[in-house]
Amino acid sequence: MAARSGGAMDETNQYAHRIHRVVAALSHRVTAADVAEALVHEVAAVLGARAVAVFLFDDERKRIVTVRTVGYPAGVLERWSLLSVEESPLLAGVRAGELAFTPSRLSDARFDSSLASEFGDGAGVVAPMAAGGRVLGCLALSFDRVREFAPEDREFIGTLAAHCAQSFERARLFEAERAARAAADAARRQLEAVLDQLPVGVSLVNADGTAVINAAAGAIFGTPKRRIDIPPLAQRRMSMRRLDGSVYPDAELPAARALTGAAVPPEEMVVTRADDGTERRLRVNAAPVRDPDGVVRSAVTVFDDITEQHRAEEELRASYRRHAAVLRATNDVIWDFDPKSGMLHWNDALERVFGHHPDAANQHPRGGYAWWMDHIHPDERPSVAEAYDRARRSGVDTWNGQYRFQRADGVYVPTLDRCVFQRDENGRVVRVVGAISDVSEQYRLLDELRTAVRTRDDFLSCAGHELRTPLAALSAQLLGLKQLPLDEERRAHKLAAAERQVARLSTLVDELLNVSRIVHGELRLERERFDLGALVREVAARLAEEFERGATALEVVAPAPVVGRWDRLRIDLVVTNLLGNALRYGERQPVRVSVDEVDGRARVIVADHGFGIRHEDQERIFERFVRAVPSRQFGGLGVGLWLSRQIVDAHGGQLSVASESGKGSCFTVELPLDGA
Amino acid sequence: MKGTLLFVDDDRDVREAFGDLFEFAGWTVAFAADGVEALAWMAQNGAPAVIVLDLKMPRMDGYEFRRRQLAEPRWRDVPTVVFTADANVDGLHASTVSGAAVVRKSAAFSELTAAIDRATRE
Repeated sequence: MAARSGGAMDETNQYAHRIHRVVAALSHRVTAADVAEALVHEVAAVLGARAVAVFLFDDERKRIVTVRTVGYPAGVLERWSLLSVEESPLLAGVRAGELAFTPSRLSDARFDSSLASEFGDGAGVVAPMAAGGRVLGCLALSFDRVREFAPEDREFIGTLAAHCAQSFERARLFEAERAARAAADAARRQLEAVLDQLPVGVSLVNADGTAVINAAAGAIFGTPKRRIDIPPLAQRRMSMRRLDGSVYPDAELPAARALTGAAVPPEEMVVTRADDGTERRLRVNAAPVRDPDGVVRSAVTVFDDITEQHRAEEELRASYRRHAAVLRATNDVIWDFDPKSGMLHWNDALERVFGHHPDAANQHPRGGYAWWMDHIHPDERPSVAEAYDRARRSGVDTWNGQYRFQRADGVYVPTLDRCVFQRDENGRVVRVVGAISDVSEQYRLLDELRTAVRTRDDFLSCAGHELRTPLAALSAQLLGLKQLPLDEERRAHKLAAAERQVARLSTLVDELLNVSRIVHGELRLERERFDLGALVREVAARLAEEFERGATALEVVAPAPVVGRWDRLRIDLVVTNLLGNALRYGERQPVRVSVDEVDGRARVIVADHGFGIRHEDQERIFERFVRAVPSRQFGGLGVGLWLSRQIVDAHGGQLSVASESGKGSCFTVELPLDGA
Repeated sequence: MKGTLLFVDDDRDVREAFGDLFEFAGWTVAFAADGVEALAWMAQNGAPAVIVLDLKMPRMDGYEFRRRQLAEPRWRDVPTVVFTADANVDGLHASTVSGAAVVRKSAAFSELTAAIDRATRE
């Protein structure tokens, strides 16, 4: 027993040594194929088996698949690979975890007797390879001699198979892990490639402060790296500010907030890079990323670089503001018509110039175009509509129209309308932009100019008439003096008449010269000291004959001298003019002229009892070339009162009229005694 | 004797100076200071041999006088010469004085007498 025990001990040690040897050989094998390779050789050597094979069950566990073999003929292996596990009691037992031994294949029906032709009779073993409670496959050994298996041998083989199974399982797990890692790597590379294609910056920030960023984010932050550490605020090289200028504290960064589990809606920030100082405007939003258990593992942050967009928007806004300022500044009423929608937009000038609210057009039940048409003067509406339509259809770029446009107060004003047609590639009008100006002022100026020209022509015609009449009389008198047989008395009479015509002509010429001087601002007063009463008496005496022939009584009331410094010739002209008017328009009723001094001012009053001047004409008669009656009936240049007022004004005095239609007129001249 | 020449002019100097010349030329001269006086004269004295008519006159001007003269069968055919200081009477105004000869006051006296002779011969 001692020997036996000693033998057993030796054998035990021997088995332990053998297992150690096999396990050592298997331990550094990492793939299933490597394990099987080592196994078959080691087992064959250690147990002295003629052939060894390692089989694994297929995925369905219905057949066996040879992994590695040594010593077995190929035909035998092929036959075995075709065996159904169900039909082979041996394999079915192994699959169930049973170890099968036989000392002699030929005496055990479970074993394949056909091997005898190669190996002769001998022992056979099929051991299940189980790991983690599962049979992965089996280890088959064939000997070329009959032998018994001691319990130690059985134990050894069982242990060996278990080690084998563990090695296989380890290798399988290792391979599975390697495949999983490769798949994860591929997925990560694919994800990175996709992220790099994104036009927006994306970062995936982990709770530990590490982050993965895509190319766009790298471009924004100025780093070529894809894996970065988010530095704390104190070490941050890039300033991240809110739009109000405040710096983001660490905990307030979108990613930090998302890491607390909150979704961060888009917010705008300005980042200034430390490397080149460039400033970018970003729109940032962030969201937490949770694992299947709902724990926040990281935060994904999306950075949209809106710098260019923001700049473009700012430019657009500035351009719009400038455009709006132009639209406000102009007095042109700008309109913008969209034929498709029928909308007609106006600038604010519509209200300023025409009094219409800019929305008025589009509130019209039949649209903006109808509103426009409705405000064109009915007389011009058809022709304007026709001309506009013809321009629109003919393919030209512009249209101009002149028409009367109705203001909000109902008044029609003359306007000039110019517009530009914007057309698509087919020539269809897609937009019409135009400007309407109120040209009332231009029309008024034109009218004024026309009136001025007409007035001047009138004046020239009057002046011609006024000059020709005394000239005709003068030449007739001279002809008479030359040809008629005249006695002394008639001759003297004719000479006096001729002299009177010369005086008339020189007064007219003086008047014309004065008008011309005043118009050119060249009236210079030549003051001298004289008695106004005496001057009035002098003028009255000169006109006495005319008054007599006009059957008009002239009364002069100048009781006391009124002495001052005035331009004698021009004051003479004023008095002559006023008395002449009184005679002309006095209807042969008595005319009274009085001279006195009131409050240090000289005063001349010329009063007649003729047909007077209508109230509405009383200021107008002092205008140039204006008379209250048609020039056809009354002579004169039509400048007398205007000229008189200019002269009196130049003296610092006043010429006024009080009159009632049908009851006569009363002209009053007031002059400061010593001039202005 | 040539008959009566009715001289209608508001300017007394003109009336006087030309009156002498007409008389010397053989006319019996009658004067009127405006259209109203001229119509009154004709109503009282009948149609003259010829009328010399100024246009621009107070109360009733030459145009209105001419209109009334032509409306009255007794006076319609009295030869009439318009004698005016207006510069632009040749055009528009000539038609409005309805066929009367027009002489401007700046013309020589011989032109006026020639026009009167032509008018009275017709």
